[in-house]
Amino acid sequence: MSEFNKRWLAEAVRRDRADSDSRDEAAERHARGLAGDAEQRILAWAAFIAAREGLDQRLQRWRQGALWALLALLVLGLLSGFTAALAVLGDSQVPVNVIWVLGSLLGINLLLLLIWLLSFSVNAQGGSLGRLWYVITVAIQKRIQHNSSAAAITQAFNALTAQAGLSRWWLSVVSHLSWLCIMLGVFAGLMLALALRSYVFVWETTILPTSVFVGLVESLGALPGLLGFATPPADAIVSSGSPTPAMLAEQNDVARRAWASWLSGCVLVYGILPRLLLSVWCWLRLGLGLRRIRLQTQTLAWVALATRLVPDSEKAGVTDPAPAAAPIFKRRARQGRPGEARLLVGLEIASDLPWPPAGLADGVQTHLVDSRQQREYVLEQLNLDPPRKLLLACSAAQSPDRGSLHWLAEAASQTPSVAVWLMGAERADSERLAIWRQSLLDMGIAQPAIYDANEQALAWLGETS
Amino acid sequence: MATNKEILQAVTEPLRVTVAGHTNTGKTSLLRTLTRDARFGEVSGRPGTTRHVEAARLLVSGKVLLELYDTPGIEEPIDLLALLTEQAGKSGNEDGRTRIRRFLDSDPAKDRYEQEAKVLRQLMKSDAAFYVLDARDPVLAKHRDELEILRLCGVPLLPLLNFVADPAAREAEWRDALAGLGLHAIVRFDTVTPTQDGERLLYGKLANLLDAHSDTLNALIASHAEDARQRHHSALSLIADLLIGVAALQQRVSSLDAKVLDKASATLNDRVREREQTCVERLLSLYRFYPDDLETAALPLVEGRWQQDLFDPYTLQTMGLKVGGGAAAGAAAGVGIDLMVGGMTLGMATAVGALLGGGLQTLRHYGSSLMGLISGEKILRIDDNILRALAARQCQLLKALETRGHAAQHKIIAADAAETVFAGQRLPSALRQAQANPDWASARPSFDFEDRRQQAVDELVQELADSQSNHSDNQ
Repeated sequence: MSEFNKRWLAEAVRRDRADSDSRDEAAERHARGLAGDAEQRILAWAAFIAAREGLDQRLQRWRQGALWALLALLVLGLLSGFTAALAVLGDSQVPVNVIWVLGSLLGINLLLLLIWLLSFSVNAQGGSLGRLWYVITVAIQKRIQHNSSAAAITQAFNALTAQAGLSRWWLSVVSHLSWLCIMLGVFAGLMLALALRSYVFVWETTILPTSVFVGLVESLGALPGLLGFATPPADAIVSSGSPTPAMLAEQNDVARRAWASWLSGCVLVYGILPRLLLSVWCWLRLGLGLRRIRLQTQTLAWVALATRLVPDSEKAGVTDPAPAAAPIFKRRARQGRPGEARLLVGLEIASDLPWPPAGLADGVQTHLVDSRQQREYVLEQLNLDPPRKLLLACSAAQSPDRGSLHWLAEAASQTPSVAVWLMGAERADSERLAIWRQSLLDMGIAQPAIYDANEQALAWLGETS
Repeated sequence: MATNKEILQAVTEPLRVTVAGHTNTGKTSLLRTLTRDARFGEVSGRPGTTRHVEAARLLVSGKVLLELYDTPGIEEPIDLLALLTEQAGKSGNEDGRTRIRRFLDSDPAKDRYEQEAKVLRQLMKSDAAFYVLDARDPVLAKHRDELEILRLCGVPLLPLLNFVADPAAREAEWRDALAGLGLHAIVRFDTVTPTQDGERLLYGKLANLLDAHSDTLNALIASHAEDARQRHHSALSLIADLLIGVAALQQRVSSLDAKVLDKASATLNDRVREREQTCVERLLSLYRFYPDDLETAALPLVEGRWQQDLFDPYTLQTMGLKVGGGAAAGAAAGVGIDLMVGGMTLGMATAVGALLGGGLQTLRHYGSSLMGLISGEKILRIDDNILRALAARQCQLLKALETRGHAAQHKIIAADAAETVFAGQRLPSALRQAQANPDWASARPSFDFEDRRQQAVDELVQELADSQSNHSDNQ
């Protein structure tokens, strides 16, 4: 399958499935198993689905139908050109008006060629015979082949070629090829008639001077002349212009051959050659363009599938499993008689909290603890002289961590009468507050000994009982 | 792109980056946001939610460029640093890595400091580390000790200020402290509401630290920027497709009797609601949010649904829109009634335009409308202002999705009034064409040579993009 056909198939598969939102797990697995970028994997995905659902064969049938339609169009062109030439030349009973014949044989062709050329400047696509072929192809799909996916296949072809700006070129290829066949038919008809019949060539005018015709015939004959086609000499042209029965009978074979040669040359050079060259040129443009067509995997049409086939992030799993349950630090309340001190110790208190807090009872000592030295110093002091009351203040806005809880448990172990004050609780979020409370309860601090209101905490410290 | 491809080919080993930090600062959230995967790991307000090391990979075109490792939080840095110092003992001038290795081999690393050991072990294997910190926290001794320990691993550290958008953030304090520790490259990155270029800045700073890998990181930046651009375009396509489809919706009624109208307009409105919901779901999935994640989501959605009904007059009122008058506006809210032959009320110019553009299809439609006129049928369409409201709502959702990190869990108060789209002007011609083409209600494969519906959608995407850029210009 050619590169373009693969993409055409993929596009058709997507459009065929447009209504179903469900994913095709099997196809996706298949595609993910292959190497390649997003587009390659999408193509594999499409090929997988198409093979399973017979879409590839339907696409093949579509192409065959299209080919038959094209052949029919071309054969029709050959035949119509052929009969047109015979009809225009007529039987040899009457002299042939050579200019009139040439105009009839080439006129429409050249007019439509001009329109095709103009279509470039007005941003139309041109190629009306191409559209005819399209209509026939679609009709074959609908009425003869009963192709259930024909609409998807057709639209996929249209969309892909339109996206790459190739619609014009395939329309043009069909159009030029058809005209080429028509002109070949014309040429064949012309040859046959000239070979088997004896024509007398004349030209007529009512108002134009003879020199116009001499100039016209000679200039038209210049190009075919390069290919070896004869042009009637000037005097023969002049003599063909005033046909009297005597002259007609007298028109010598040389002049007639020259006219026949001139006529065939003109049909070949102005009818066949341009269409032939344009067919080849458009064919090349189309071929090159089709080879360059890529699925736009980043657009809405494909992005969901593309990110599933080629994820931009993936989980690589746990590389180092979690340790056993985290330790809980328990307070081991110290027995024995404490001293007389009342102590307020703030752990990791942020600078925006008031320290020392206002409203402290007389005789209360305060400590701030943050660094290792401070932690060790305060623990040592507590150990040496256990206070009568110890209020441990924490910043409720911060997250409790093992280090803080460990130190708090150590400090709380130094004396029987301990309470914890969650400073700034009114500004902390409720989830964090709940975590603090739970951790403190786990540590062995009783629920009533956890304060979040400043007054209550300080009042507890001030109580003498 | 060619250079990007070459870079990709040149990458043999992915860049390994460890995400470290104190407990509960948003490490897993950072991974969620960077991988755009709201299902990565577990996130909660509880400290120590992540206690293992988990990896995620970032790929470009199927190639792994970056491996990110989510690690447990460091919880006892003060005691750990003390231990490290103690272990170093008399050994004199050892380098940090030797000290860390000795610690990792010692017993405490398997016991009390097992969690910290996991972080350090991972860090030793990495090319760099993000040090995630909660900028709302005060700078404490434990943070300094933690950075001291991490620095011993000899891996470039990039501090990342999380929650920096919070009014309580102490950015200056942190910057000062980090500078004191010799860390001058710092990046602000809110894991929950990252700014649009947050990721680019993050990787850019990392590229500065890791000169040898800067190509890889730049390739990642370029690829992500392109993805974001395409995603935005895809989202606008979804919205445009919705609007075209809704504009094309029609319901025929035999009379303007209130009962008949009510029933028909209810049917029509239901079809619109259904389509809007489908579009919402597709937008969510495009931005990789899951509808069931959205129960607590920062969107004006509840369980992936808009809280306010589109046809609720209040909804429209908040957007400064009114559902227009017309003969039976009271009976059929949100529905425009085409009393004339189908589409003719859209204005002569539209009708002619649609005829020129729509060719045979439209002509057929006009034919059937004429039949309708004779038999007394009327056509109900969706009101223009409903289309405006629909456009505004989807654009609002898109904006919310684009600025929402995949770690977001909390509610954000949704701005009540969405920015208006197409307000105070005629509807774009693409929409007016859709109103005249009832078969554009859904995109089915057709044999038409040109997909004019698609052309209209593309045109509307352009209009939406323009209107958005106008809005941002005005701001």
